[in-house]
Amino acid sequence: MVTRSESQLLVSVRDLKKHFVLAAMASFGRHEVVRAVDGVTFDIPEGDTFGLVGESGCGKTTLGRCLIRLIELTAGKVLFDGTNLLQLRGQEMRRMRRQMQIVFQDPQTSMNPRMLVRDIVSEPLRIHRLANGKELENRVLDLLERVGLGREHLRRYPHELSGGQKQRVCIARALALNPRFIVLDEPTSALDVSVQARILNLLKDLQEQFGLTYLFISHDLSVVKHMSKRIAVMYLGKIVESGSVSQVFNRPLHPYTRALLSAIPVADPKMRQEEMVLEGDVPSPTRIPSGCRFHTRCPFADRECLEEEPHLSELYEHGHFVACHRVAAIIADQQGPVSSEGQ
Amino acid sequence: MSELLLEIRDLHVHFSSAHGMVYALNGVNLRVHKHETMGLVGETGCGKSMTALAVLGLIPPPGRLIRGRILFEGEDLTRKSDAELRAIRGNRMSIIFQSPGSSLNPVYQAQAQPLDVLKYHRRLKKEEAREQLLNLLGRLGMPDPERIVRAYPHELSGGMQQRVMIAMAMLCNPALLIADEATSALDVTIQAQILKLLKSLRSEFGTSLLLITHDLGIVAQVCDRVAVMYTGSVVEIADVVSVFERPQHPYTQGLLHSIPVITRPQRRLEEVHGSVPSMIDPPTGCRFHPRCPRAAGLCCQQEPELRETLPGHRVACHYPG
Amino acid sequence: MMGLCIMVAFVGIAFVCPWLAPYPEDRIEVHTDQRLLPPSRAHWFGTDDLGRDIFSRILLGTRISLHSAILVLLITISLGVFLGVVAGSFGGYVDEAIMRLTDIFLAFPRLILAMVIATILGPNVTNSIVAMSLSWWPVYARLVRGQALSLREQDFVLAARSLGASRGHLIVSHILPNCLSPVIIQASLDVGRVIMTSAALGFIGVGAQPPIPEWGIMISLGRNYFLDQPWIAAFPGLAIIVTVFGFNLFGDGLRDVLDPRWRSEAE
Repeated sequence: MVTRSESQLLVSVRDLKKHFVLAAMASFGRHEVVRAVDGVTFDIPEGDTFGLVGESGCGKTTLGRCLIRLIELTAGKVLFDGTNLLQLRGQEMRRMRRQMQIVFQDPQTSMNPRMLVRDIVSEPLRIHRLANGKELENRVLDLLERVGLGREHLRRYPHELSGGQKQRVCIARALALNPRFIVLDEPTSALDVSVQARILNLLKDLQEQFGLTYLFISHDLSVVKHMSKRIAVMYLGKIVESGSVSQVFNRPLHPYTRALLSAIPVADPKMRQEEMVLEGDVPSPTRIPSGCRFHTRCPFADRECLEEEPHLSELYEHGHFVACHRVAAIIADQQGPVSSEGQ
Repeated sequence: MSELLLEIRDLHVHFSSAHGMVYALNGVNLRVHKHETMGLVGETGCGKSMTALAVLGLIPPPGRLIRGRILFEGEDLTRKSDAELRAIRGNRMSIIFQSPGSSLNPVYQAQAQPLDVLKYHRRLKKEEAREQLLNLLGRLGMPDPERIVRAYPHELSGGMQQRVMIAMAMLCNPALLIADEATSALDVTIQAQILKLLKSLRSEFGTSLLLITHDLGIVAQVCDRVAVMYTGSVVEIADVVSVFERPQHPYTQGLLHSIPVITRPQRRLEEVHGSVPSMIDPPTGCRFHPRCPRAAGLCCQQEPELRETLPGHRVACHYPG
Repeated sequence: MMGLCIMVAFVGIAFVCPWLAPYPEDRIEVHTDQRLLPPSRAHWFGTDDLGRDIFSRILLGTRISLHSAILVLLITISLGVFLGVVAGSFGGYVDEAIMRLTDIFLAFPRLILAMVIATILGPNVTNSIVAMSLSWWPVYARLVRGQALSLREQDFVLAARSLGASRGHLIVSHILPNCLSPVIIQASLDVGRVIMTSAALGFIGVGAQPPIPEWGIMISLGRNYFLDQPWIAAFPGLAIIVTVFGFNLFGDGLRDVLDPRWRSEAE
């Protein structure tokens, strides 16, 4: 994968897999396995924002949680600043956690409803015994100010805050331990459009100020494009395309990426898109299709696609990876307008 | 301009709550014409869903319609009895909601509710009704309608469920279909399928569509005209190109500049300052004035009316442009 | 609200009954010359077969019922919550082991179990308390375990884990406080039930023994006279009904109050 000589790779993921075994259902003890993440590899250089997009069920949330070992991996490795996270146990892992934090999608459920904002933000400092008494209160205030809140919010309960304010508290909490890396799991999906703008601006400001590295997970391509430098597109547990934001958005190679891009309604009425509308539904992650897992919905699929799973390879541009057998045919097709409506 | 189908005039809906009176709708003015797709856009709490419910006569208690008229096909719905409204719902006017999963009764097969519609409004027997339903599903492009109608809702995907809901809404060939955030709970690629389906309804059946959403992208791609709502009233209404290219109301302008657009990379997004006011104690005069970069003396005293500032483009603002 | 009043009255009476009751000595004393008198100005609820003033005995009985109820609930909650939190938070074998234990206890109808235990231990108030506690704790264990299990997966618990919280911290700061509210509600509803059960044990004869003025025994003794002197059994019965009803109302009211959405630091 890409190795930059100038910047350090902060996070490296190698062939990460997470399979969930569902309890035996009706079928005679045969367990169903959900292959939520099925072999994912990528790197994130320090200071960058890496975007992860995909629709529901593609495994992006699971991947985000595996990265900071909130969920245990089934296979693969995660290297954080050179250290293999999987080899750490107990106290060591807890100490490592100070460097990597997460902000969840729903700010309401990610805070204990019975705790005051002051206690929510001070919790990380208390857990690691970094401050107490007056100094603790000062640090909490400082954190709140960093995210645009104030003294008046200290003694409030989560339900007394607006959506945007709640998410700011969660961000303040994530900053408390001075982490280097933050997983942002759909941080603005639950917020109104105008509030989203402010939170996104805040996240960008904080990144500049503190040199943070982000993994930005979202299903909203426009938001991901706005925030990220590099981006990976996931489908049913695997990355199907990755590259810099301009590579993937301006020269998408994988048919799923192209369908995704053409499916987003662009807020510009003059650009009425000719859609590449995919037929069918996303297959269940317990019954992943053979060969290329996208073949059931792909307008370009042929025999090879049913039989053999394609691997991520760097075919046309440096740093631009795609897992597809039919890229050449698609590029040829890209000369004319795309209007294949499923088959 | 084709004929007027729905006209909402000065609609006011209030709710009494433990904390005080909630002014949910404050003089909504809206017109939908025949064969037209109208977008109703706004953020949480602006009253767009409440408007839809008011049109159908389904305002949840303790909400009450205080003032205003709802004219549909020439008749005033606010003056109609419950029985008369029931004859219209599902028949001349239908609605589909956000979560099709909750709109379908999980213990019945998917066909049960649609068949009920035909039984009630068209007095058809089960067999005839089934035939019509299957026919319609075919026309709507559903693969394997036979299997779908016999399935239970949980056996169908979100996209399939929503198609069943659309079919149910279209069975009696209504003049108006209201879609309240119909695609918000769906994945992007599935949303694209459903939007394509909704667009086809006009060419296939001539249905007018009132599309309620918070997504400006959907509005830009699917709608002919759009109304922007804020704190219970329409602040701007015009055809889609006009609103996106020449937004007049500061709220619309703020909204348009705060969304990241794929085709226009920006370093920072513009922010709309402040937050949505409480509807129990709304600001005086123009309710947007505390957040407005252009607010001046008149704005906190007098509520602006919808006036035409450009041809076909109406704004409720003292200093539009 | 009404429940609160009844409850407060109950507790109040329990504390001051020796001063309130017109004939406190009737706890034990016997007046054979005043047997079986119907309700009158001198004896508001009449007298029983040993001439004792029923009204006084009912008031005195509140103390016993309260005493039993508090002790039973204290033991039950401590045991049940502890085991439940441990089972729910740790999962795996620990959870299985504790749950099988609760299964065993729950396999018996509660009253029968309490009866059997009380009989084995010997019929008196203390043993009836032990018996009731042993038959009641699985309910709380189950309740808390269910809560703990679902709380474990909540986002805010995950958030605390991501911050590096140890298991102990998670349990004490996050899981326990969110488990307590159903426990409190259940407990306030159970006070009424405990009172019923101790009365039932008394009625059968394996709880409090005469001459203790426990409501259950009073009903039991009044059984024989029910046709001609119904007041002997009726008034203690009424006392039970009112008390249990009051606690139920109180529990319902408590459920609303405990929702953190009602609270704000301002108050």
